[in-house]
Amino acid sequence: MLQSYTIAMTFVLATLFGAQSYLQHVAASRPPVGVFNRSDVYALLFGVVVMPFAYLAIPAPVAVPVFGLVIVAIVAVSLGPVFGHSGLAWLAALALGAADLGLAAVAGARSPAQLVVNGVLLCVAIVGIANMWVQSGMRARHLMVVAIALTVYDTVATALFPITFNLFTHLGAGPFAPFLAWWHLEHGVIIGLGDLLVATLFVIVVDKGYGTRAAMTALAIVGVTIGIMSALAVTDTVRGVAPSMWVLGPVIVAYLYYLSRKGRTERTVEQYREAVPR
Amino acid sequence: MPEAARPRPGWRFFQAVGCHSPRHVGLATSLEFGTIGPEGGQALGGPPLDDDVRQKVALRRFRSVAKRAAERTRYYSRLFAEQKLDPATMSWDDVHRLPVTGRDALREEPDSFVCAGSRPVMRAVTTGTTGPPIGVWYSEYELAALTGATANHVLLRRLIRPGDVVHMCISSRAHLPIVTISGTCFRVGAVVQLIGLVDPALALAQLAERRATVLDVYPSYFGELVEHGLRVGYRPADFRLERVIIGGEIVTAGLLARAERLFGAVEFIENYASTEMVPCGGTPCAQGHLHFEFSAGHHEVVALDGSGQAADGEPGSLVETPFPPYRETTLLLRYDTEDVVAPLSGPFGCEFRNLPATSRVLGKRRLAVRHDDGWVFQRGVMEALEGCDAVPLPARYGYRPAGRGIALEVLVRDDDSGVGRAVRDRLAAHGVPVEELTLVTDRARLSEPIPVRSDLREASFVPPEPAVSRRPALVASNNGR
Repeated sequence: MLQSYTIAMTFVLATLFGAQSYLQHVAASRPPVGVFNRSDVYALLFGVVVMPFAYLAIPAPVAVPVFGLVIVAIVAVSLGPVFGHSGLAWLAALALGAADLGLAAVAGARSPAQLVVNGVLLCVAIVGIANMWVQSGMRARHLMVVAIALTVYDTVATALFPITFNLFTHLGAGPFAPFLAWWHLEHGVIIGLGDLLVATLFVIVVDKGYGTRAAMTALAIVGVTIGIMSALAVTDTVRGVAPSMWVLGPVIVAYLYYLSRKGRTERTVEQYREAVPR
Repeated sequence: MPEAARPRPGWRFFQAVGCHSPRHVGLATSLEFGTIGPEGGQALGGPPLDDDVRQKVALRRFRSVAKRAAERTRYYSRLFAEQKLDPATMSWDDVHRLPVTGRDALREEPDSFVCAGSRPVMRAVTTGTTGPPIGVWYSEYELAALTGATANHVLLRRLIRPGDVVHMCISSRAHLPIVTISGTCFRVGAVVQLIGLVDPALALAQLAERRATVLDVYPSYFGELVEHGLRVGYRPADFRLERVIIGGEIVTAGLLARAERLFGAVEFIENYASTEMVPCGGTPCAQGHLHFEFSAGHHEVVALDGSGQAADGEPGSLVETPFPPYRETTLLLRYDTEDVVAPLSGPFGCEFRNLPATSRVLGKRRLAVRHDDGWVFQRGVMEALEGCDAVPLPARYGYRPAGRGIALEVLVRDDDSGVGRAVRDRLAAHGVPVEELTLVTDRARLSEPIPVRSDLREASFVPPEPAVSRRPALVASNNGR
C-alpha cells in the first residue's frame, strides 16, 4: 500500500518539479508568430472531450499504437531542446516507446518495469506539452477556463457515466496507458493523464505569471490535493474511479482568482525571461 | 465599410472569465514574447518577392484601387473619362500616363476624393508648413486599422515597449498621428502624454520630471529642445530617455550629434510619413536608404521636369498610391508628395534589403534650386548648417537662386568673420554652391525664412521656467550638503 502510494507520488512530484525546471532552463519551440489564445483553449477542450470517445470506439490493437505514436512524438519534441539534437531526442523517445511496448509483451502490462517506463514516458510528455503551452503564452485566465470545463466534463465522464472507467479498462491492460499507475498486491493508485496535466499547467502557469514563491504554493496545493486523493484511493476509502477534477478544479480556480485579485499583474513570457534568465 | 463585429457565441462567457478579444496576432506575439520569432517577419509580411512578382502584385492592387476610385470618386471618375483609360485593365504604361494628383487638387476639392458609400468620421489636416493645410477624411475602420498597423510596426521594431512613458511633442492639430500613436500606446501597454509644441522649457521639464522613455517629436522642435536644454544646463543624467522617434521634416546628422550632448546615447528612430499618404511611410535603414513597404502602397519617383520616371540616382518627386485595406475613404492615385528623393536600385546590403528604396528625402521640390553643376536641395543646406555649432538649432535660413548657386541667409549666434568662414566651409563640404551669404543674429531680420513645424508654437497657462539655469540651482544644493 505504502509502496504504491510512494511510487505514484514520486512520479507526480517529479512531473511537477520537472516541469518547473524545464520552464526555467529550456526554451520550448514556439511558432514565430502567434500566441496561446482562446482558440487553443477550444482545441484543448475539444481534444480532451473527444479523444476518450474516439479511443473507446477504436479497437485496442489500433488505439494503443496510435496513442503510443503520439506519446513518442511528444516525448521526442519535448526532449529535443534538452538534448540540443532532434535525432538524439527521437532515439531516446523511440527507445522508451520500444521499452514500454517490449516490457508489456515480455513482463506483462502491469509489471513494475513496464509501469516505470510508461510513467517516465507520460511524465516527459506532460512536462513537454505543459511547457509548450505555457511558453507559448498560456495565461491564468486560459487555465481557469480549462479547469472549469474539465471539472464539468469529469462530472459527466467519470461521475455520471463510466466513460473514464471504460477508458482505463480499454487501454489500461496494455502499453502506453494514458495514466500513471502503480499496483502492489491489491493496492493500486491511478492518476489520469488529464488530471496530472492540469496540475502541471497550474504550477508553471503560476510560476511564469506570478513568480517562484506563488509557484511553490501552487505546487504544495496540487501536491497535497493529489496526495490526499491518492491516499484515499490506496486505502480503499474511495472505491472505483473518482472525479478528481471535483477537487483539483475548484482549488486551481480559487488560487488563480486569488492571485489575480491581489493586484499583481501576470507576467508575460518576456517578463518571465527577464526575471528568470536561463 | 465594414460593420462593427458582432460578439461571437460564447463571447460573454469568455469575457466573464477574463478571456479578452483576440488581438492582432503579430501584436499579441510581440506583447507576450517581446518580439516575433526569427521567421516571423516573413510570416507576417509574406516572403521576399522578386521584382517581377512584386510588379505583378502591385499592378493588380493598383488596378483594384483605381477601379474603385474611378467608380466612386468624383475626381477620378472625371480623370479616367478624360484620359480614356480603363482602370480594370491598365498596364504600367497606362499607369504612368495617368496624370499625377497634385497637392493643390486635394487641397482645393478634398471631398471629390472621398469614396461614395464610405463613412468618414475624421478629417485629418496637415500642419501647413508647406502651404495651406490639406484635409483628408478617414473612416472609423481606417483609424482602427492604421492604429493596429502602427502598433504592429512599433512592436516589431521595438520602438515602443510595454511600460514605456511616451511624450508626444508634435502639433496638437496633428490629429491622425495623435490618434494612431495614442492608440498604439494603449495597445502596447505604454503610457502616453501629448505635450504639444509648448515652450521648450516646459517640454524639457516634463520630460525630466515624468521620466519619459520615448519622445515622439518633429526635428525642428527637437532642435529647440536641444538648444534650450544645453543653454540652461540640463545633462543626460536629468533624463531617462531611451528612444527618440523623429520625423515629419528633414533630420540631420548635426542635430542628432548635438542632441547626444543633452540626452546622452539615445536611439534615434527616423520615420517618413504624411497625413495624406498613411500607411505609405518610409523607413530609413542603417545605410541611409529610405525603404518602402510595397504591400502598403505603390511608390514611384517622377523626374523633376515631369518627363517620366526618374532614372537611378536622379532626383525626382516621390509619387505614392496607398492601397487598401488601410485606405478606403479618401482614395488617392499617384499622389505627388512633392518630396524629392533619388530612386535606388538594389541589391541592398542593409537590414531591409528586400524592400524597394530611394535616397533619404532631399527636400521639398519647390525649394530645389537648379544650377550649372546640379541641384541644391534643403538637405545639403541643413546638414551643413546644423552641423555647425555657430548656428542655433533648428537652423533658421532662407535661400534663393543666385548666379551659379544660391544666395543664403542664415541665423547665427554671432556674425564675426570666423563664423562666416565656418559656415562657408561646411556648405562647401556638402556641395552647396553659395554665391551670397548673409549672416544675421536676429531671427526677425531673415527676409524669407523657410517655415518649420516648431513655428506652430502652442500657448500654455503654465508659465515657462524662468530664464535661470536649472543646473546651478542643483549644484548649489549639492554644495550645501
